[in-house]
Amino acid sequence: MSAQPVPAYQLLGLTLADDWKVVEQIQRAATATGGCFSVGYFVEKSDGRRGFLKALDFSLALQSPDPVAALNPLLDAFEYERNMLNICRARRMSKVATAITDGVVDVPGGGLLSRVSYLIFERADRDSRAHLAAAAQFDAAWRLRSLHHIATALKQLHAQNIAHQDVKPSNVLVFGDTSKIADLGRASQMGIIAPHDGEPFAGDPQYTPIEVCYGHVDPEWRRQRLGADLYLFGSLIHFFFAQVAMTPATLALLAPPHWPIHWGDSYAAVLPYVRNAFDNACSDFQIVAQQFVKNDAAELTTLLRYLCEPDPALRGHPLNRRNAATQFSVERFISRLDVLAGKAELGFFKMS
Amino acid sequence: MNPLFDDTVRRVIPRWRSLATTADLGELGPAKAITRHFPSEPLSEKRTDWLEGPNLFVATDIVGSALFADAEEEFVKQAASLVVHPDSGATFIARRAAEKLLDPTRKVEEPTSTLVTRTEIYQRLHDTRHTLKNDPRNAIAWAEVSYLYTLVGQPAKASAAMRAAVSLAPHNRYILRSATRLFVHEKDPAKALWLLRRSDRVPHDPWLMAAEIGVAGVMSQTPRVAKAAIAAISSGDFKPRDISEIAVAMGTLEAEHGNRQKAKKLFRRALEDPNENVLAQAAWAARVTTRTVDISASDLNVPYSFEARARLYAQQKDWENAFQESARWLNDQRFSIRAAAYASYLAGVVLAQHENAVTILEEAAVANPDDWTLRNNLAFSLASIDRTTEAHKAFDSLPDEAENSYRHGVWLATSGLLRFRDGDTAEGQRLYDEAIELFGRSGFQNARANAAIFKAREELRANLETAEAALNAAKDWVSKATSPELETVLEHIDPEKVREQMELTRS
Repeated sequence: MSAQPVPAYQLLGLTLADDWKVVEQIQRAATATGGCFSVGYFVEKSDGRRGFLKALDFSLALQSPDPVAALNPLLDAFEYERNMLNICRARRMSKVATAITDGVVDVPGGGLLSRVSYLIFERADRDSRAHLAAAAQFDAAWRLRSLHHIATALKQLHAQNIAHQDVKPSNVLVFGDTSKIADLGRASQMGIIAPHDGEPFAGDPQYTPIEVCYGHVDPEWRRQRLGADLYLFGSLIHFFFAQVAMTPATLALLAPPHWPIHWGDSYAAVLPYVRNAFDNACSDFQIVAQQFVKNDAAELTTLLRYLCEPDPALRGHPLNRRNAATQFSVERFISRLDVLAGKAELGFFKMS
Repeated sequence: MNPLFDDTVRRVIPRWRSLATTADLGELGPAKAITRHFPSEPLSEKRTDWLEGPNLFVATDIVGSALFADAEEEFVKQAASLVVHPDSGATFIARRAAEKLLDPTRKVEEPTSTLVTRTEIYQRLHDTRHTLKNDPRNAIAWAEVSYLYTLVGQPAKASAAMRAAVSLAPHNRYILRSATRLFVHEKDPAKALWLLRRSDRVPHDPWLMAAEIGVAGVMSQTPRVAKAAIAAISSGDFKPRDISEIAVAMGTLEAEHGNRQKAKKLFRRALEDPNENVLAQAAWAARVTTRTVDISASDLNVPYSFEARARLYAQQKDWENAFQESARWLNDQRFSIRAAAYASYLAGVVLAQHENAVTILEEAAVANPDDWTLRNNLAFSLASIDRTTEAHKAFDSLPDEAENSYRHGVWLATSGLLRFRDGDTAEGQRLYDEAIELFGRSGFQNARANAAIFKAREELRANLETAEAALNAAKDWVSKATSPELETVLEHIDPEKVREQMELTRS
């Protein structure tokens, strides 16, 4: 018996609702996003608008020994991400890469699986890693403005009690001069149980708050989720300047017995070692940051310290920490990054 | 010169080193090690990124993910190799992470025998204080500051910094063991014991149990964790390295109580995977308590086992290597009086390199400005190279320790040397004779031989008629003594050599 072609891979050339035409399949292996396997395409409209289409592929789940059990979490994850995107779209979040539309398309000859669900997003120029690789070596202005945009994105999400949970360089998309945060597949909304809530590591462990790597998870939603977003944003700052995320930079300064893969004791027991490595990593960061922002490297490092503080109870801007409701506010970080980005754009940091 | 410290008692007091070195030496692993698995999907996803566009930022992204996985895959190695390439444009931070991935095992680097300068110590102090300015919650940095203040002879500041460290991390093994060493060094073992006994971690952590047993021994108290220690040794729950210190500490206690069989068994367990402190303790036990422990030559490959190596070379009469190892021991344990006393003794007395001895003792005096032994030894070496004014400055305010026959004998001998160098040969002879008589009466044969040798040296230098008789007497005492170095010391005062030396000094 010959294997039937998977409909999610058969969308090229089709015209979807709202006049979107599928013009190119992205030649990548299927990736797991939000718990679903998806296939990527570029789509265009007759008015010249371009988009990125994510087609959901449930075929593997249907081939499993228990298709219902396999399909359920995938459907839940897709539904959850779509709802998140709808909230973002409804709230007009300018710095979150939201879905332009979503829908279902019938693939001719697709058999039982002929109906393919999809999401269409704005098409980005590239992700931040590709932009950084192409940018001038010490371009502080773009880095700081991009970070300012991502901090704004977090503010927009947090205002709706949504924590992104997966802030990382590949999820920072570049649209001309604007950076937006993408991929809400790991997001968490207060009061709503997410399909991935039970997973200890939601996403890439290198972009996971360091305490979570040691199995320390605070049961309180704000401390766990918003605190994590702050750490991840700090980690993004670290990546933009030092080229690696905060957690690997800290691990590289820790003795191997204290690494999460070996440590069998509590997080409190390893915290003095982690803090020492973190402090050394921050000092190193400042040395690197001086090549970009000269006199403001100390301030940028201080922001990094507040965001990535290894004790989650102390994370956040110190002026906000007194109040549990505002402890994880990104407001002060946005304003400071705006000032730093503005200085950089005016050529303040140009090497003489 | 006071040849040695009191070698009849040795306790397993934790060594105090930097965090990195202590961790490298395998003393800071978790009480229970595990293997935690992280999802490998994020790394697999990046394979596509790498194949599509292998740039520096994708490479560093891969390196970060790979630190959480057993990443043997080729694309991970390619990515890490790109990051470490000299022309990659990678920051030193990214490079370090990639190097860690390519070679996770760090080779333990031992210190050289060249003494670390005070300037270097002050620079480290400055840097660590700067770290604390940014993050005063860093307990490890407070302990480091305490260590550095100890090295530069500021004990009050060292204690204050350690108090801060302990208050921030009262149950942390590194902090508690460092605090133990500090307070024992400051002759306040009661404080060390109090800190250990108030921590509920101690009965569950073999490294902290060993510290409690050692400090209780210093205070002649019964350790509270002896039962827990024996249970830990026999439980099989811990790796051999983790129980080596408690095994050797308990072995020492058993040997002291005459339980030779039990001691032997415990020493054997301790030497399954010893650290250098365990090895030094076992080497001491081999010297002091016969037939309880056997040290093999391969044991000396244990990193940082300078003390044990120095003593072994000394037993083999390889004095140059014994000195090199003792200088490394001092570099490792810069505030250790035992290390400074041993290194300066080998330099000054055995190798007749008094300038080296003076350098060592002046550096050691920074951390131990009031130590009787070190000040006496400094006076001896300074006087031996005719720097008598400085020798008097070091020695004249030193108490004569009349109630301690060994120290009093040493004091008399050094006083005799100073009188000789001041030109008062009669008084010099009298003081030396009094020292020799006291050592003999008290059963210190090695010290008696040593004093006799240096009395003969001084008489030869002063060209006294009695010099030959003094030399013969020294030879006689040496033949009745046991220290292996005495014959070498005697060779230095060969009349021909002394005359040559005198002429060299005059010219």
